[in-house]
Amino acid sequence: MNVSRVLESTLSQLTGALEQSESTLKTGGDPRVKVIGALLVTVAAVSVRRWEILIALLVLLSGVAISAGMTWKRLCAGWAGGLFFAAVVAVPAVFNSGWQLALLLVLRSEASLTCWLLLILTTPFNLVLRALQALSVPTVFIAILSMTFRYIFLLVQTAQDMLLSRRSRIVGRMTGADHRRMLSSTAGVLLGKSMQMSDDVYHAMASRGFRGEIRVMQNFEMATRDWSLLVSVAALAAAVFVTGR
Amino acid sequence: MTNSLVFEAINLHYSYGKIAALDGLNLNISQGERIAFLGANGSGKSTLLRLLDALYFPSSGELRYQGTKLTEELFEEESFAFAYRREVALVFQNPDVQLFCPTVYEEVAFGPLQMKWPKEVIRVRVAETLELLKISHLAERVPHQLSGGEKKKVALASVLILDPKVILLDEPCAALDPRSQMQIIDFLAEWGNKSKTVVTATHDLHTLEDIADKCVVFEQGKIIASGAPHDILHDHDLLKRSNLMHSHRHRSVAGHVHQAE
Amino acid sequence: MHIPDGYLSPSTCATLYTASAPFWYVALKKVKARLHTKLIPRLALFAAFSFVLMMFNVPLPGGTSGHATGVGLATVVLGPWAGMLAISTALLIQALFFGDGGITAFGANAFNMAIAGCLVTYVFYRLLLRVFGMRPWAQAAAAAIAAYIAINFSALLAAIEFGIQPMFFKDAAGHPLYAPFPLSVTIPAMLIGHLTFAGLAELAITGGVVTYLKRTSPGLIAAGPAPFSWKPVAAVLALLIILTPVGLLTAGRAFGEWSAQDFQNADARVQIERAAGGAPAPSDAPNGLRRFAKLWSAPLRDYSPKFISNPSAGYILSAVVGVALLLIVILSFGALARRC
Repeated sequence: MNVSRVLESTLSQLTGALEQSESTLKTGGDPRVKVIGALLVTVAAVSVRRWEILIALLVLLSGVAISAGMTWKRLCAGWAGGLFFAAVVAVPAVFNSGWQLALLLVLRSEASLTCWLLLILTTPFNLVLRALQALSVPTVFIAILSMTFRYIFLLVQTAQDMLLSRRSRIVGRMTGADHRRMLSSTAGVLLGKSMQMSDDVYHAMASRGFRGEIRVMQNFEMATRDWSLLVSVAALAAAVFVTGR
Repeated sequence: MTNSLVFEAINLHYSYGKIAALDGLNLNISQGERIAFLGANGSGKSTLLRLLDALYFPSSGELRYQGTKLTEELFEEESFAFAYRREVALVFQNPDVQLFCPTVYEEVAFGPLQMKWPKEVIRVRVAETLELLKISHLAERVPHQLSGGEKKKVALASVLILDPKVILLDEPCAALDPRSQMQIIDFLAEWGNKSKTVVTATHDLHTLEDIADKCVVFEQGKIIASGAPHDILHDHDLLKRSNLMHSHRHRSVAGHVHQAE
Repeated sequence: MHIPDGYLSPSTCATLYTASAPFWYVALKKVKARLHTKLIPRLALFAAFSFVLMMFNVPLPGGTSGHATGVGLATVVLGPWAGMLAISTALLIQALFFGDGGITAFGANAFNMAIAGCLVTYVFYRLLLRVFGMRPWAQAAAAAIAAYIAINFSALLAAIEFGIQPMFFKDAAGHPLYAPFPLSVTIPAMLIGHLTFAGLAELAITGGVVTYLKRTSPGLIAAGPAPFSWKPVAAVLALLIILTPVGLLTAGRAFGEWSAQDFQNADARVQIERAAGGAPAPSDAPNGLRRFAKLWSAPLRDYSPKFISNPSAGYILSAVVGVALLLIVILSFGALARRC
């Protein structure tokens, strides 16, 4: 297994996924409503004990996602994330406790996944943060989240550059020990380089007046559309909860 | 009042851990001056720029802005901090460090938003500033996917929107293609006019005369010379000593002196 | 080790959110006090680093997947409180963008990996620093080993959370509603993977990076046995105390802890025989056991003082008293030792 190839492909997957959220389906709508809605539906889904209800919910959520512009490919890629855990826990559960429980376990996690995928892909991340801020998540934590998000891009970029330049300098084969050494020295160098840059990023933000709060151009005002979305999502969550018991 | 002092640096010291970046520096900058800080990497010019932008505070010595001594406590007060950050702006060497919003529009609006300007005012100013730098067509683009020259213009726009009195530039032409370089230089040359103070840290000797009326040469955290660009450029000994220039033989005119790479 | 939504019951999730809240609260207060320093951008950078580290999942047999979390690095550079915020941040972004770990389960994941992880790392790091002294490799080794222990502790916590699901959350017919495997399965399953691949990955990366950082950014990592703060130790102890009711859940008595009466009790006899590999149990307690059993009558018998009816509360109270007594003994010894 070529360690640097694995690293590089994972890194580009990472940026791919994060960047997608920056430039995708921007459906409008008050992000506070969307966040609360996602929470309500998730909590309801996790309480469900009947797999039929979850199938219905998943179908509904997928429908909403597709109509908002998500591709099936993206949806399935999101679902694949939950299947890994399912393979390890849910599949053996079939032999232990029957297929219904296994199905329930898988569907619950996929339903929750779909909810949040929908949220993230239809709302720019800084709006999600702004919504969390409005919902009383402490500002310090919001600032940390926002900066972390930026630094992830920075880190990945730096890592990719480093790996690229390393790749062009390695001639011949590397032993397992060489790979391991390279890995931890790469990690160290990455951290070192990023620390300098992260200080600069922070300075750049402070230089333009950043003092810890997130401010955005959009004004959050609940329009009729937002109220009706909130009400319908709450009703959905309640329905799922009640029928699922 | 003519030529009031904007910055006074008195015996400034600043260290990163054990390394002294600024070692007893004295400097005055007057309003409307266009100054270039010359020096090799590590000579202290970038550090001084950050001190001027109040991102760091001196380990010892004093830095005054329009007579007021700058201290950390002062900046804890929001109104002072906002006023200062509006009047003094810094453009960083690496634009990626400075571009962190999802779109160019939001990037340019970042500063005024942080400073709580009314949103209608922000909308107008963003449009004006984008137009000024001729990047209105980039408004909805993602900043870190732009070309080097475009990124630089966005970075410039993001500080110019504040209409600062002092603009500090750290290697503005680093890593830019020649055409973009000329565009930036031309822009800065025009934008100046007597009321703005421009401080540029650079080791690009070619464009010195276009961007500055006065040069200050740095070496190991101290100022070793200052004067008009023309004089500095012709003091070859000085330039070689401070690692801004070297001579070597190459295929064109033998002994042709040019700047160090 | 990231637990998705749907495998833990809503009440388990709520409990773990509630358990995490006070730690987050304290951590945020501490960080706020240092707002004017560069702590926050540093914190965010380590959160980003931890996030990237956690993306490299190594699939493990029977134990979901393992990966390095960066818990060791975050604690050693930022301290346990800022560290737990950094790891929590990384976990949240992973949950939101990659569905790696659920949102209702976020409290659990943060509790296991961020909160417990950083506190355990800190305690062992400080302890090991005292042991290793001023040797040049002291910090790297202490950080690496502490991180290894912490990762396994996090895995243990996750295993416990999974393992108690079938005990408490069943439907009317007695079928499990959430994760169906009992403690006897989940604990070995989680620990095997983490004692080996994941733990070793954490150990290697922590050790390697700390060594590198010591060389390049010397001021970054707290050196030597600095003043030992009791607060994280107190936090860990609080954690363990909260977990003691888990002891209630293990049916029956631990090996060798039978009392004299148990020999006459039919159920207990079955257990004794099973533990003894099938050898028949004597019909009555051995004479020696009977004689000495009367010697000492403990004040908090069977960990349930008579005036407290709820067994869990009794357990917790006993734990508090036990820990307090232990601390008094340790501190007295320490004071005595210093006097000599």
